[in-house]
Amino acid sequence: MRTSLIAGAAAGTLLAAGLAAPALAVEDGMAEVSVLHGIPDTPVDVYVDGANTIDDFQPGDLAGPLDLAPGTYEVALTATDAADDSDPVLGPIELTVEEGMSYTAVAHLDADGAPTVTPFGNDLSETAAGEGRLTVRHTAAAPAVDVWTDGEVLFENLSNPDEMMGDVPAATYGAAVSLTGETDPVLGPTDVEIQAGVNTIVYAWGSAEDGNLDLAVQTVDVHSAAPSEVQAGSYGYADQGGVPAIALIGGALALAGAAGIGLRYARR
Amino acid sequence: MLSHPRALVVCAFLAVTVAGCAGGPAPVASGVTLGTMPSQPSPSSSVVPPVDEVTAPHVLGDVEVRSASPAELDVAPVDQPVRLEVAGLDIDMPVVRVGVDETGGMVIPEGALTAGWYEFGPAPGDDAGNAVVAAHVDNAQGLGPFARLLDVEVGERVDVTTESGATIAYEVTDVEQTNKDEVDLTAVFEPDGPPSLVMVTCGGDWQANIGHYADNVIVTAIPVDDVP
Repeated sequence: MRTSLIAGAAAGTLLAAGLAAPALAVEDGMAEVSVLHGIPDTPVDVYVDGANTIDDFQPGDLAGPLDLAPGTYEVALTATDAADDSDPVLGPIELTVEEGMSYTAVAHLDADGAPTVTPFGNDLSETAAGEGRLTVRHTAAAPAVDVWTDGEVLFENLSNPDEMMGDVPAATYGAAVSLTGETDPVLGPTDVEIQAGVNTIVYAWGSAEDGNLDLAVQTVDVHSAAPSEVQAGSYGYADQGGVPAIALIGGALALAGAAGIGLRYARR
Repeated sequence: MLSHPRALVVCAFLAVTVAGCAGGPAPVASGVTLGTMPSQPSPSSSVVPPVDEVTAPHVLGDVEVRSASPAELDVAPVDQPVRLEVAGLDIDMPVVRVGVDETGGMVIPEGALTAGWYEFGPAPGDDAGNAVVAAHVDNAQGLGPFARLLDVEVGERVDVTTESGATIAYEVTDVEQTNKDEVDLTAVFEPDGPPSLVMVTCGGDWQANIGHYADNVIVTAIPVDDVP
């Protein structure tokens, strides 16, 4: 249903979607599920396995994350005055979640404007040191779009209900969305801060025809890798290898030995 | 974090399908006591009999609901460290924030008189993880203050002052000198776990051919309030 397209990004490394590895961010033995309401003008109650789990859920709001045991859940959306989920306005759909994974179930309009629910898997894999992840999801009743950051096209030709993602250096970017091949933004530009070790997920939602296109943002912690090295000396004055400088710190070494130099950070 | 979080209390719902192949009880949310969980069939049999759907009470707790508008995405500003003092070693240095260079290594401030705090990891004062501060061991004139880290003893007091003027007091708990080929930087830069201050410099053999020292000197300190 969704595809991961490798777009020609100016910055950073693009990743394939769906490779989310189990991460510390998710409670042990559980799955993490958030729910985004992206259907304009339609407050709902969200039933999970028959229980009203998110009451009076408003368009543009994000609920969760919920910790769910791995398994398959039945999700239905009803009018807010419904007594139960026997007469849903959307669904029921089956949502299967796996241990250690993060999901966002998005209630949104399809490209033609009909309500639907799309479950997305959130990539939890570690970023490189100093990088964050930008994920963009097209969940609006609108044609394919290009996604811009700081005046350059980052993701090209993204269609409902697809997503694209890439890792970029941590910074604040001016993000905008245009129809594919055009330059005038239909959304934005909006400042989006991409933090190191965080997957920032931006949604385009609403309807172009109804003039209520909007952006929604969610963040998921993923960790960024440690730096590859710490090179903290350039002149050799602290040499302990037998050149004259050793005289300066020979005593220091002995003291350090007395202090009990351990091997806490040595790989074993 | 949130301007107007709305918390909704969610009642328990019946959920979990316990598959016969799982062996143990179904995972449940922490803090949930299962009073009536039936014991599971032994997984030793190679033919797993079909198990009827078993439901268990599954408390979700509060579901946080917030606006997903980009305007609501508040990134908490960091109270960054600006000064590092180890009175017992006569170390008193300004601290600046640093990131990574083009090869992915930690940036170290020019010279040896300024220390760098790794801005992509925890900050001193954060609830968890290692705040890493590094400085060159030497400069063109000779040894810098961090060369004295090798003299540090367990129990030494370290004070970090932040931009807001707060001071976080630490006590040294560990001193290590490890070859750079062996050092586990993932552990040095650990973002979770108990809050610690980790000071890093270089030591060991000077390798003139590559312009680097062979070892990292790594000093760990924990908040004095956390000292057992």
